[in-house]
Amino acid sequence: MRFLTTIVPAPSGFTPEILSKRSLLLEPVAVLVSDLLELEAALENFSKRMLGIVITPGDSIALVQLSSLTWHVTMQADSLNVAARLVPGWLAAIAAADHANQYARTADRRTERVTRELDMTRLDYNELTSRLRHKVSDLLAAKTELKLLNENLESRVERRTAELASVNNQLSQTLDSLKQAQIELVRAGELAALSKLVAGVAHELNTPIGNALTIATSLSHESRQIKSRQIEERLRRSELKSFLNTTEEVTATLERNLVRAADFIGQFKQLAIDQVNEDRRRFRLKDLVSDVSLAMSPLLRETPYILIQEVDRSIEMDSYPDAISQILTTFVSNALTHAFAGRSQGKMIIRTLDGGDDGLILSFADDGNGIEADIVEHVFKPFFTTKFGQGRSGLGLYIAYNQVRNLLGGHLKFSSEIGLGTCFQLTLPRFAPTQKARLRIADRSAAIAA
Amino acid sequence: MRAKSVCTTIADPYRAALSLGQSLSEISPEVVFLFLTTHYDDWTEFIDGLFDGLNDPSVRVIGTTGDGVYESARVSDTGACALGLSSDGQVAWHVESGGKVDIDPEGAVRCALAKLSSKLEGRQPAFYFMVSDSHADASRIETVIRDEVPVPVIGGLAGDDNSNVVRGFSIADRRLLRDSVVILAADGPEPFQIHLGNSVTLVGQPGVVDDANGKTLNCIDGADAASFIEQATGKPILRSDQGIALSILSGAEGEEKRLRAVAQNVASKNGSLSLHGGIREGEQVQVCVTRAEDLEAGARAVAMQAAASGFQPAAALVVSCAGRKWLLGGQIQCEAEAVSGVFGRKVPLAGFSSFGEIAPLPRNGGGYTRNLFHNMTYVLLFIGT
Repeated sequence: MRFLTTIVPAPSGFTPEILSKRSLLLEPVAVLVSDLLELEAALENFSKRMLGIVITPGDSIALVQLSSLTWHVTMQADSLNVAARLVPGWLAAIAAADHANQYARTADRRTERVTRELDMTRLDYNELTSRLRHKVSDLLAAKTELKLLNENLESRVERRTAELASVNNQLSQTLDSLKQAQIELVRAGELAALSKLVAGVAHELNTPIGNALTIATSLSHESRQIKSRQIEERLRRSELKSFLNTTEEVTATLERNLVRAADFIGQFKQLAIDQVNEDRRRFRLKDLVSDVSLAMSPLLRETPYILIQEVDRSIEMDSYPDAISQILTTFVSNALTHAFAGRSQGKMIIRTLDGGDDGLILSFADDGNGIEADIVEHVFKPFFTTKFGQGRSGLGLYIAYNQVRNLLGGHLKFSSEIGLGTCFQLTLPRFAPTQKARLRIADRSAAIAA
Repeated sequence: MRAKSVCTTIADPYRAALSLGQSLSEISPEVVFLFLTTHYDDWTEFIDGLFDGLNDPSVRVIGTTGDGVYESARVSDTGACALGLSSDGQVAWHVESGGKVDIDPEGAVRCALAKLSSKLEGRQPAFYFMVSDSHADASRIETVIRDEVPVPVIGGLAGDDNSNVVRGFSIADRRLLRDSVVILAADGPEPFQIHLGNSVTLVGQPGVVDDANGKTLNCIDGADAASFIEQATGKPILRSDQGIALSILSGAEGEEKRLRAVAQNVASKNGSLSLHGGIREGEQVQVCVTRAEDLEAGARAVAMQAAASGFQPAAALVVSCAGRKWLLGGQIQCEAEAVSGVFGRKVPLAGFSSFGEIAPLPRNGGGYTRNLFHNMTYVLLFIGT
């Protein structure tokens, strides 16, 4: 609490001070001056800026409010001690009022700021509302459009469904027609195969039986002539001897032709695969392969080619050993006939591989010439042979194929590469299917085909 | 080092400054860091009051306006604060300025640095403290202090009261300067530490700036800037938005990272946005957002990091983004309280809410990165005993 004065000597309670802007504005102050001009000289526009009480000596007591927190008191010089007692409380009130005033001005600034922020928020709100309205409007339009599209979609789906049903019906009819055509084609194919088979059989039997018939006819004629000569008792011993010699030669030829026909028929019978006649039994595959090798050994000995066995001794089968023997014999025979033409050495390998829990793979491979590409697709066809007229019937692989599929319940495939050799691979079950099972499979295949 | 910080909310400029100066005169300061809001309408009165209060015309003054002012335990939207320092002659404080920072940021900074250089007589100062007009493209200021100044530069861009009506200014001794940069050099063995943080979270996908002109960002990844940001944040850009920034993913070295906050305004009709700091075409950016709770935790973490270093500060200067203050609202006090809280005593502190922050980043292994310009960042400069 400051009590300043420019009056000399300073009255009791007042501090002498050279007035300045600093001294007048530092805080609320009581200033005793002889004239207000002293204050104006120290602080321009002092009445509006300073806070406190200005006291000037005068003849009478007077109180004038210069500004909201500045008062001018005029009092007699001998009353200044009274002022000294009143002023502290007064200045405290002015300081409190100033504090409240500053606080209010600060609050005003804050209010301005908050108002500005609220304005900003209001603008944001309005803009957001506007954007939301547009969005809602867009969404409603989209919803309406979607509804329309849905309605159109339903009718389009109905129309399309009807169209599809019609097309489906046509397709169904077409499919039936195709199935019928397929059945007819299968039948035609079967007939064609049968015709070819019959033609082949006729062709193969024609020569030996024709020869036999010619010989038999000739023998019959000769015997009738001998008999006539004998009845007429004109048969000479030399003639009888000649007849008997001729008969011996002719019957030998007749027998060869009939044996050839019988062999062919026997071979041909394999196609029927009358399983009842097949000898099914349990056997060790290694033994079977060894028997085949042994049986072929006389033939092999006459060639520079060798047959190697790489067969797992542990493999046992419950199947048709005769069929497997015949198949392997066919492979060996074919290889000797075709694979090594023009070669001074060759190798054949019969090998077994693991075919899983219930099966095995039996392969026959040679390192011969391989099969020409234009022949490959025909090798399993009946009566197909490249050694026609050289004792080959063209049924060996055909029979092998049918026996693997229909009797042994397996698959046969082969690969061949020119100059590198040919390999046949049989995938066989260790336990061949029973006759009943084969019939079931055959029925199912027929049903699928139908 | 003797230090004292003071603040006032007295509305009268002379009386406000007089109270500051009078209070600081107790330590006979050599330098005063002065921060004030833009409400004081008579600068001559203010500076008269300050020096009348200090009662020493040789005191160096550097200062600026801010959207708010910080003092040891409070942050205020109005008034002024100051930090006085006295090193008993151990440190010489030089204050210089450069003009026309708006059109030639690089030139203004180089001009001030050149003037200081003659005062420093070839010595490198411990650090520089810098304030600048916020209309300048701070990214161009950054290029000078980043590439040409080998000692830390700490500071920020002058803020206004977020009204976009009044304009902030800088203070160099008795001069009020607009369109200028003011730099103080602490010439002497002055221990200090810099800590800073910004708690931003990346959102959306990165994009490449297709079209930008200085602080105006037009297109990113083929979309207008506003649409790109709205897609990343999942909300429209509003006038009242704060805390949305772009993290510049390309061009940073080592531990450096840069942010560009979106200025508080609406997007223009073509979707362009103003940034606090320039951005270049071809830079890869990603939108990031800030949450108030993250900022609060981040500020505490920054202060705790400082306390954990064992450094005992005689005083602290705060430069904190005005956007943080907007987001934190009343919780902004945490940024002032954090320092005293972690050091367990009242640390003389003053600072301001800036429109862009300047500081190097502390490296993990010690030392600092190059000087960088930041946004949405809380910078603490601790001055040692």
